[in-house]
Amino acid sequence: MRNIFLLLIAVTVVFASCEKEKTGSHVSNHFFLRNNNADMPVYVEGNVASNIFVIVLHGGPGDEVLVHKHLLNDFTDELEENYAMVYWQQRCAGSSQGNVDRNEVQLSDYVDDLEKLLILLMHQYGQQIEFFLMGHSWGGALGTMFLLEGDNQRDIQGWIEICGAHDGPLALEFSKEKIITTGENQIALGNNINKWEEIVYDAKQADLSTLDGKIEVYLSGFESENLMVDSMISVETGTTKDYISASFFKPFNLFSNIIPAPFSENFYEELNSLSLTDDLSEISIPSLFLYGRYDFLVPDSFGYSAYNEIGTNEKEILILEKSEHWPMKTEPEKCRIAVITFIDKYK
Amino acid sequence: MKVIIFILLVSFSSACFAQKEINSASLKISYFGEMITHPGLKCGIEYSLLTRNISKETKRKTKEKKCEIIIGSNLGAYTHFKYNTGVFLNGEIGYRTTRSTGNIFDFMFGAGYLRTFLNSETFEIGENAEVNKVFLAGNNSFMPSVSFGFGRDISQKSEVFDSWYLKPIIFLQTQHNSGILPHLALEAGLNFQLNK
Repeated sequence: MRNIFLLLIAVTVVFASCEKEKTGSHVSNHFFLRNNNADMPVYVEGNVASNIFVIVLHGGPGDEVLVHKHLLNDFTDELEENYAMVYWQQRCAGSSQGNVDRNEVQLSDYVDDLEKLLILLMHQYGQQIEFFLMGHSWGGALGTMFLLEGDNQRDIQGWIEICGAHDGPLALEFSKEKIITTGENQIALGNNINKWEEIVYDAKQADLSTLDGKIEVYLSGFESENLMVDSMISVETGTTKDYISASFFKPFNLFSNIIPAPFSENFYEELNSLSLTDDLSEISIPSLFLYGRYDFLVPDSFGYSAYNEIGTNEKEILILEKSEHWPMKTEPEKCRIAVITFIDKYK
Repeated sequence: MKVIIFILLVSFSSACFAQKEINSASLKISYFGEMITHPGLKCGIEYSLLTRNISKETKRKTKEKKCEIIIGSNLGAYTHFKYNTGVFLNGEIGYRTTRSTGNIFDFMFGAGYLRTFLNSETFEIGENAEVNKVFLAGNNSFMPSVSFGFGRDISQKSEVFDSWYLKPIIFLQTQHNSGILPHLALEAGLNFQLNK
C-alpha cells in the first residue's frame, strides 16, 4: 500500500515539473489579470532588461495567444532575445478563464482589458518600460480601437499591424476584388480554369450587404487561397497536430481553441460592422504594416489602404510575397527582421 | 448555488449510505490526469446498489458474470501547470459487469462541483488605477461527467486490493468563460473492499 502511494506521488511530481522557468537573461513570468469577470493569463517572456515590452494581440476573437509563443517560435524566439514579449490571452478565449455573461461582452471590454494590462505591467516592471503593440488579424482591430481611445497613444511607442482587420466591411470589399482579379488572371493563364470560373462567379454574385454574401466571399477567399497554394511557402509548424500535442504539456486546454468562443449575435454584429479606416488619420505614432500577398481574407490592398490613411509620416509597409494570413508562420525571418528594425528605430 | 448544494448533499448521502452497508462498499484511490498529463489524485467510496449474478450455459462451459448498479462519491484534485488547480467533489452512478475471466467493464455518469484556483498571482486594477492582489482567485463550476472503465479483478491474487482499473473520462466545466469547456482525463487506480 505504501509503495502505491509513493508511486502516485512520484508520478504527480514528474508531471508537475514538466516545464521549468527559464533562467539567466531570459525572464519567464506568468500572472493573471482579473477584469470584469474575466481571468486573463499574461506571460512575459524574454529580455525584460531591454525595457521594451511588445504586447501580442492575438486574432479571433477567440484564438489562443500561446500559439504565438509555442507554435510560431521561429518568429517569436529571436524577438524574445531582444525584448520582453507579452503574450496576453484576451477574455473569453483560449486559456483565459472566468465567468462572463456572453450577452454582455462588448468590443469596448477588450480595450478596457488592454488599458488595465498596461497599468499592471507598469506596476510589475516599473514606469520606465516602453510599449509596442503587435496585433494580428482581429488583434489589428483591437490595437486600432485602443489607440483611438482617449490618450492611449501617449503610452505606446509604436504600432505593428499584421494582416490586421480594423475595418470588416472594407476588408470584405478588398477581399472580393482580390478574388475576382486573381481568378481572372489565373483563368487567362489557363490555371484551374473550371474552379476559378466558379469562384469568380460566386464572388461577383455576392451581395456584401447581406450575411450570405459576406459568408460567400469568406468561403471564396479560402478556396482561392487553396488554389494559390503553390505560390506560397508551405510550412509544417503550427498545424492542428502540433496544437493537440502542445495541449498535453502547455498551459491550455485542447478544446478551448477548437470550440469557438460563444458570443452573442449583438457582439458579432458589432464586430462585423467595425469600420475604423476613417479614424486612422488620428493615429500619430510610428506604425508598421505587414500583409501577405496571398491573404484573400484581409488582402494586401487593404494593408496599403491602412498605410495611406494612417496619420503619421513614420510609417512602413511590407508585403510578404509568399504568405497568406499568417506570414509569421510562412516567412518568419522576414517578419522578424522587419519588426526588430522597426522597434529599434522607434524605441 | 442551489445546484452546488444539491450535488454536495447527494455526494455525502451516497458516502453515508456506503458506510452503513459497509460489506458492499469499497474504497478507491487513483491517479487522475486531466488531459492525461496534468496530474492529480482522486479517492472515493463506492457502494453496490444492486447486484445480480448471471450465468450462461454454452456447449463447453458455464459463463458467469456479476452485474451491478454502482453509486459512489469522489473527492479529487488536479493541477494544470500555469493554468489552474481544480478541486472537485462529485457523485456517480453507473453500471458494472465483472466477468468470470476477471475482466471488469463499467460506465458511469457523474455530477459534481469543481472549484478551480488560478495557478499564479492574480491582480485586479481598482477605479483609481491601484493594483490589488486577489487572494485565492478562481472560479466555481458545475461538473457533469461520463466515463468508461476497464479493469481486472485481482481479489484472488491480492490480500489488499480488489481490482485495478483504467478509466477515460470526459467532464464538462460550466460555466467557463462565456460557455462550456470540455476536459479529457484518465484515471488509473485501485479498488479495495472495506471489510477485507
